[in-house]
Amino acid sequence: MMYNEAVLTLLQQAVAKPLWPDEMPGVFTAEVGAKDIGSWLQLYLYIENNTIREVRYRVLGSGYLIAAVEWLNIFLTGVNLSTAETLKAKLIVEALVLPQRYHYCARMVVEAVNNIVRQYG
Amino acid sequence: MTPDAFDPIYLDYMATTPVDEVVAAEMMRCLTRAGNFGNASSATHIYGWRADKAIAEARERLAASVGASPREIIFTSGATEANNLAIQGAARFYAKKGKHIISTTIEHKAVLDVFRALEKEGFSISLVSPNKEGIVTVEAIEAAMTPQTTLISTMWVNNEIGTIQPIAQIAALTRSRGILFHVDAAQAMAKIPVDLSTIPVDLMSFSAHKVYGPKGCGALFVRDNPRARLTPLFWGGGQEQGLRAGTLATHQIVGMSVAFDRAKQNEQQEGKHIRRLNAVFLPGLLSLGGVSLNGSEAHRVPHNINVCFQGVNAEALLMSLPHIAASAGSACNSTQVEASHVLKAIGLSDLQALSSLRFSLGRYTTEEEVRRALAMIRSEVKRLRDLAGQ
Repeated sequence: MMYNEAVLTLLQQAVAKPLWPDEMPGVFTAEVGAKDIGSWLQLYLYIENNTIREVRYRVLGSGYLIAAVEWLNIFLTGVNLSTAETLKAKLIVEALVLPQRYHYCARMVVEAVNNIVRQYG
Repeated sequence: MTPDAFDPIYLDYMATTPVDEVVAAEMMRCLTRAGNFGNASSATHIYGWRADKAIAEARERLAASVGASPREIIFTSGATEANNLAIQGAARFYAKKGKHIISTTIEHKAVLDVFRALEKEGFSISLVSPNKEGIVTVEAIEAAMTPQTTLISTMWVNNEIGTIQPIAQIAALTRSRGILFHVDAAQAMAKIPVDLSTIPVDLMSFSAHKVYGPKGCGALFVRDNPRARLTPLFWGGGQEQGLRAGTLATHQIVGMSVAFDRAKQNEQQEGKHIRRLNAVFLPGLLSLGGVSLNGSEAHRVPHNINVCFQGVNAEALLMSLPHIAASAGSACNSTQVEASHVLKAIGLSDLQALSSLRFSLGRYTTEEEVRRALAMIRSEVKRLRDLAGQ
């Protein structure tokens, strides 16, 4: 299989930033997938005045999943929640040219975002 | 010249090998107008005679490198064709005697697919599982035998985990029972001594491109005494004793024979080189922590290092290491990523199999490359484990 440059760049720039404490005001989290099946994402959004100020995460899975979360990091930072709410997996699939067998990575990422939007709302 | 940090490092020698320069030069001599380009079947002129002579010499060279006689070598387009000719050919020829075949769950997919096709023709296939070490025991093979068993087919060296099957013992058993024995030795040549004069195997498949020879060329050993009989896969010009029709590819055959000859000549020296590299690489990987070797440590070729990185997706690791060429323990189709059937057969979970990578060392691997690869792997495993909160 050939990896495209966008995916490789995003995967290689992904780093684990320290996580915020769960009780910190403005921090919302969502967990999707499971570690024991090898596809897991824990997403942390720091939201202030309806705007996503920062994205942090922990992720276990394929390079495409890590790239998708890193793409999300760039896409969501500074974005209003109403914009985040409109995010569709299709956009990520197209942006990263995900092969069909990795479409689930985009769906996981969107599920995590939707989960947090629901909590906030 | 000092190697650049971004020079790629090839650690996938069990997938394929580069063609040896000496081999390439010999092949070139069979291609152009100035060289030996004739058709070996052209019996009426000197071009044909020369090609025929080159092939006869190549057959002798290759046969000598595996302890066979020239008459016992049938050239094919590769190990896949050799396996197909051996398995389908023997199954069909001996079908009136019985339609039961025994193989193992850790064969190459290309071989397992042949069995699936034969099942559709009414053959019954028993696939024997290996133990947790990745070894198929003689006892397990014997237990699967029935009065209808006509053929047993196993690989010698496993392509994914490098484990060495007890071929001599299985051959002794099959010979005593009068059952034909085929061995897929695509990964064995140049890694372990291959001497067909001492092991009573009836059929053995070889590949050129795993042994620093060209892609698109292989051979099937068909024992002469007692003669293993085969039904050909296709018909045509009657080449290769009527078992494999088609114009012989002189350059490929000459290349393969020189590659095998060189492998045989350098067997001990190369083995020492690979063992020395393995002694640096494997402990280096294990020292990362949460890394385990897949398959037997004792009964494997040192060329193969298949390891499970706990808490790391192997594909993500490979993608993070674009300067290292290795293989993941998974197979992709259009809709999903499947864990390796070999790793699952030796008891690994899907998660462990998807966390496994195969590195394979070869003739041109250097210690400097191994140390550089280790440094890169160490750094990326840490980053991915940090990302996973491990």
